[in-house]
This record gives sequence, structure tokens and C-alpha cells, in this order.
Amino acid sequence: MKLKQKLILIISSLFLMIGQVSAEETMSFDAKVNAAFASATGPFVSFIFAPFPGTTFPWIVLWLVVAATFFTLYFGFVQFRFFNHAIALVKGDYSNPNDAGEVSHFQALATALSGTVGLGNIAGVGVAVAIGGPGATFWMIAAGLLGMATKFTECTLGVKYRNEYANGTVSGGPMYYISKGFKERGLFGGKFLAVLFSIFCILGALGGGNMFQANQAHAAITGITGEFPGWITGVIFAIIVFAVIVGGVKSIARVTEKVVPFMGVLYVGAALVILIVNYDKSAGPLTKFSPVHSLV
Amino acid sequence: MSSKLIIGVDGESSDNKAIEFASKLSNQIGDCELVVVYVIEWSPFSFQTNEENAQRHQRREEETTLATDRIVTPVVEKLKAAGINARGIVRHGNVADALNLIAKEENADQIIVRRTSDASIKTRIFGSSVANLVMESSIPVTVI
Repeated sequence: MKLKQKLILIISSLFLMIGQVSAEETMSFDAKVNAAFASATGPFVSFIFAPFPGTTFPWIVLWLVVAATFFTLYFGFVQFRFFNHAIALVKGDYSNPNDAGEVSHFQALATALSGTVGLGNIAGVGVAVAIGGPGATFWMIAAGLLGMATKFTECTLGVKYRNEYANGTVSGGPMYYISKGFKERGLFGGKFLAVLFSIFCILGALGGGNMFQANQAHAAITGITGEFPGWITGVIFAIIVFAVIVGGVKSIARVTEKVVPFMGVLYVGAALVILIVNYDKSAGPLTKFSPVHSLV
Repeated sequence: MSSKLIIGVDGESSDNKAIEFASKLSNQIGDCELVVVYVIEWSPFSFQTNEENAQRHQRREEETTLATDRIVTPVVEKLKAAGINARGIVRHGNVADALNLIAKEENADQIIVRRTSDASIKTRIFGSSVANLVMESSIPVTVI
């Protein structure tokens, strides 16, 4: 009851705030919010995307590609060698019938994908092509193929160092495998890196998880309805997210998480339709890529 | 040589018909063991949330304990009280597949199940568990 009252209070105060923002000020309100976040995140963003001196190539891209290449070589091209094995695993060829009722390989994959597909694979690709041109697709495919080894490493470590609690539940992730793995090898700083990862996760959820998603959703909605102030979409999203996380409206979260696999199918289907419709231009990106052009 | 019969139960009162038939058959055979099986419907291809995955192992144990205590054990106790050699198994999975698999593992002679009168659209399209069992089973199936 208390929670409900709080919820109503917060929502009503939000609407009061919105009411105070007059129509003439709406553009400036959006711009103000944008400016406030830009100044707060600016130094961090410019550090992450800082280019190598004398180039426009960001160091973070090299870091990710070097890591992915290292994992690919270290594990002997695991992403290609065990591709059939991966399919057989998901099909359940290696499942013990006595383990029926536990999380299946397919379920683990579907849940992992539902948290991954979206920001990078859908919105990110669109942004990359818009900025870098069609040649960017080549580099995304190349980085993606190498990135499979990174994902393999991440998931394997996640399972290897997961926590199994007395009541039978489990939890895992980089914060556990970083701290446990460092400790196991007698290295210092694991705890610090684990905490740093957790902080970055929270910041990432704010930027990538909320701001970017709300921004993209608003762009998609205005594409259909025409221009309207961005804070309206933002506030509606905030109320829904608040209801799910704080208010405990589990049903919304359950539905969205279960819809994601179908979104994946829809996404691939839509991409195929676009490729078929534009079949005469499909080979374009591969013929047009140039390393220099795409990197800068 | 001793015989082994599998009885598939689903916790409904109409299970009694299958149990009665199996008891009668067991008495006629003499040296016979009855294996009471309850299958918790579960698909490895359903979608789960992260939270559900994290708790799955615990939930599975709870479901198994609940099915054993509420459905299988009372039937086994009743059979034992009637002087019949009986034990129970609880397994997750597709009902038809799981019964068939247990029958193979146990090297059973026959599966006994009761008829279901479920007439949902799903049943009409994919067939009932009993119909699937009859089609897939590698040993004789008696449907009561």
C-alpha cells in the first residue's frame, strides 16, 4: 500500500512538473536535458572514444578487436571449429534425459540472446552504416566473427566461476569471474576491477540501456506520428520502467523478455526482405569497402 | 522371470481405474513390480527470463518433491498396502517421450495409462499425450 502511494505521488509530481513546462519552452527543455547530460558524460565519452594521436581511430575499437583476435588465436578459431558442436548442443544432442527440468542449452542461449540483441545488432548497425557508409558492414562482419571468441570466453568464464547457493539458485557474471579468477591466480586488483565493472554496468544501463533506447524509440515514433517533444516519450518510458522495477509489475518484463526471440526472427526476416527487394544493390557494400575510408 | 509394469498417473481421481487394472494384472502375473510414473510437463525449448534460469534448479527440486509427496507416494503406499511390489518415479519432460524412455530404462513389459478426455485445440492439432504414447511406444500400451 505504501509503495502504491509513493508511486502515485511520484507520477503525479512528474505530471505537475510537465504541466509547468509551457509549450514554447519544450524545445529548450529537451535541449537543456541534452546539454546537462552531454556536459556530465562528455569527458567520459571523449576518453572512451579518444583517438590515437595523429589519427581518428579510437583506441577502444583497437582494444576490442585486439582482445577478440587474441581469444580467436588462443582458442584456435573456436568459433569456426566448434560451430557444428554448438548447433548440436542447442538441439539437445548432449542433454542427459535425467537432467530434464533444468535450464536447457536452448533456454540459456535464448535468454542470453534476449539481453544482447537490440542495441548493438539492430540500432548500432543502422548508426554505423549511416556514419561510415556501406563499407562499415564489412568491418562489422569481420569484428563480429572475431567477437564470437570473446563471447565464448565470457560465457565459459561466467559458468566456471558462477556462484551456487545453498538454496539451489545460481548467479554469475564478470564481477564474479574477475574477482575469483584474479584471486585464484594470486593477482591483486580483482575486487577493484569487479567493482569498476559493476559501476560501468550501472552507467551503461543509464546511457545504453535507457537514454539510447528511449532516444531510438522516440525517433521511431516521431517517424510515424510527426515531431513532438522528446520528454513526453521519456516520461512515459520512465513511468513504465518504474512500474516494472520498483512497482514489481513482473508481467510487463516477462512479456518483453519472451517476445525478444520472436523479434530476432522478425528482424532477420525483415533484413532478408530488404535484401531481396534491393537484390541489385546487395553486393554494393562488399565491393565498396575500403580500409582507409571505413577506418576514418 | 519377474514382470514390470509402468503406470502413468496425472494426479486425477480417474487414475484409480488404471491403478486398479494394473493391480489386478499384477496379482494375476504374480512376480510383478509396478512402477508408478508422474511426468511434469516441461519443454527444453520454452523461453525463460534470467531470473527464472537462476532459480530453475531450485524450482525443479521443489516440483519433483511436490509431485512425489502429493501424487506418486500415496499411490505407491496404497499399492504396497495391498501387498503389491511398487515404487515411484517423477520426471520432467514430454509425457509420451518420458514414459517411453522410462519403460526402456526399466526394461518394462507394458505401459498402463488412463484415457484423457482433454479436447483443447492443442490436443486436436498435436494429439493427446496418450495418443502420442500409443504411436511412439516400443512396448505394449494399455489405455483404460
